[in-house]
Amino acid sequence: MSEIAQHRAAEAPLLEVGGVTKHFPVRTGALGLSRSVIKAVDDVSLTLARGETLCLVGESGCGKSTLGKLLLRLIEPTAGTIRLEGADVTHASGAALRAFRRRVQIIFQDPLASLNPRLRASTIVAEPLDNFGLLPARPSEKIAELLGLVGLRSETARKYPFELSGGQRQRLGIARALSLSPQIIVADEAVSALDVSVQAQILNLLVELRDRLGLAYLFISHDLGVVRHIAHRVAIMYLGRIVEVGDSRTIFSAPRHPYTEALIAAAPVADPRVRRDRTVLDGEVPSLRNPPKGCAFHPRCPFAFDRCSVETPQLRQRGPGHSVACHLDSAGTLDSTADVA
Amino acid sequence: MSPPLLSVKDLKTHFFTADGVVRAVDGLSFDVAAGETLGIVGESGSGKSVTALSVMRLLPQRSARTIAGAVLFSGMDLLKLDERAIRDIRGNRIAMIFQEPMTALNPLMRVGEQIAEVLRIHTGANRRKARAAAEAMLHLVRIPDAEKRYDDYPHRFSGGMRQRVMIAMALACDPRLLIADEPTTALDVTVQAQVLKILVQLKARAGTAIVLITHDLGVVAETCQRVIVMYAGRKIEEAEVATLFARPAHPYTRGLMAATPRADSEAGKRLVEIPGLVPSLSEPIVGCAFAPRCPLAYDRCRRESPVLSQIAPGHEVACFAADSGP
Repeated sequence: MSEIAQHRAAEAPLLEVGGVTKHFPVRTGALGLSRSVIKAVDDVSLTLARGETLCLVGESGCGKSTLGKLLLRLIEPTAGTIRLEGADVTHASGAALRAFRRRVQIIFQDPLASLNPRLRASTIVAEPLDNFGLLPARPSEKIAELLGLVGLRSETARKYPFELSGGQRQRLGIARALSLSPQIIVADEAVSALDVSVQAQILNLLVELRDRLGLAYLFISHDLGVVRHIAHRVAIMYLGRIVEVGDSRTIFSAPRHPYTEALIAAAPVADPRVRRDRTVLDGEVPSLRNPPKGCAFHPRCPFAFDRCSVETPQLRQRGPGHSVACHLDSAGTLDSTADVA
Repeated sequence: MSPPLLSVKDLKTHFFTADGVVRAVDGLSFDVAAGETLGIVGESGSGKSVTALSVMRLLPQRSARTIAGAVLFSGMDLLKLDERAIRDIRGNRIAMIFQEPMTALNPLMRVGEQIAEVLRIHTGANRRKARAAAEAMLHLVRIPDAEKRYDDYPHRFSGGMRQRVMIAMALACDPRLLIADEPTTALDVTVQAQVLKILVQLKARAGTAIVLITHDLGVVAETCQRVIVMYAGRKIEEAEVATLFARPAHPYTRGLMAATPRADSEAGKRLVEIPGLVPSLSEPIVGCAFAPRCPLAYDRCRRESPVLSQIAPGHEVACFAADSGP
């Protein structure tokens, strides 16, 4: 890390999320008359530092995309706060929200669905600049610069999305996200739809851009290989809550939450010499409509005991920058050291 | 050595479109022995799914045609059978499961009935016997409360349960061969582990051979015995799983492995990229299809198409550079 980066890291976090919650109302019952809520994101607190990549990991329906949308201010949180460099942006509107948008951008999973098929690449990249009145008098130079930044030739500017390959489209989506020189990019499964050979190109590009431009990524992914490759820190989500968060090395080499362990054990490894006798987790992720009481993971957890079905475990710090939400861990069953909290 | 259960010989399946002929599978040969699991690996457009559909004779007849080759199953050429005869084999002696279990299941039919139907058609079982056998299959794939869930419709099942129903249906008649096309790609990782475990257990129980089509090298490493790597409609390498991962010989195979980020590797290392793109299959390919992206390509690769040659027992590669040593 450079001196400047070290100095900056000492300041307030770039993005700070405190107790963010999102409830979606649903109608239930035979006639849809009774109302209840789905707790898609439940009391999530996170920080993101400058230049840092934080990966949000979890299975379908764990709330990782909803959390991404909350941080982008695309949906309103039911509770909690979102701070950007210390300033509360939770309910920012008007000019403040527009200023926020310039600094936080998104890359989507499916580039074809997120690029307007009727616009040329040049227009797609220039649109955010135009929207903010930042388009220079001679936009073609700026457009060529942005395309060059993501490894696209300047001729690409004339093309329509359907004329581009999947990898080129994703590059275009990245160029659009970068056009406003944001500090934070939320990448929601940004490489999941790509073939391995193209995925490697895009992952390398994202790492290069991060290091060159000092970008912070909130990288949402279900692919643990990709996460291991790109993450500085990892947050594991299960049914709307963060169950474990820590630096990437710790999460992969010494996971503490039984769900994190199971998730890592379940990921197939491309090496036949690694024949692990893995414990396959029973059951499936329960419905958010009817989440289990206590710890949401307890019906699938091989270590669950009576307390787990009654009381929801809170995230507690177990080591430097490493927090776990598990009664087992705080009870000291997995941990010989005394409870520090 | 006993003859293979399935022997695909010089298979060519082309699509005839308004934009020209797409050579989706272009001269593919491979064998599957009874009871073995063969992996077919490749990226989008490499021809792996078209291979499966050609074997099953399930391609859209208006646009696609298998123009050459033979598919020998227990000695019969499936490509020469009439429609009735192939229907007797499909779902009975050769079964298939697909990536999207929701689109493969009939949404208007009770789940158990869909399994029972297969049994009634192929074994002539009566309703009561078929129901009992279908319930037993649901038990085998670990559907909880199988007797009750028998009468549910597919939308009441989760993705992982639907795929298990597909497996139950596919294995109901004890097929000799199961073709599984990306069976776990749409599933979450913990559910994928469950489904793969069930596949492996059931295969061991009935001695079914499996052709597992996937883009995921991790799935291959954990479930297959032998692997075929496909590129642009052709087989470019074949080996035992252990050999392929220890000594990949084709530059494309090596590239795929180096490009795959692994959960058990050190972070931060730059991934090896395979530059460029998969070639268009609607234009004739001169020379090796991988040459434009290959770090080892030389003049000959751009002129001549390399044929498969054996570099070690059971290890075949189609590459001039791999042939002559590194």
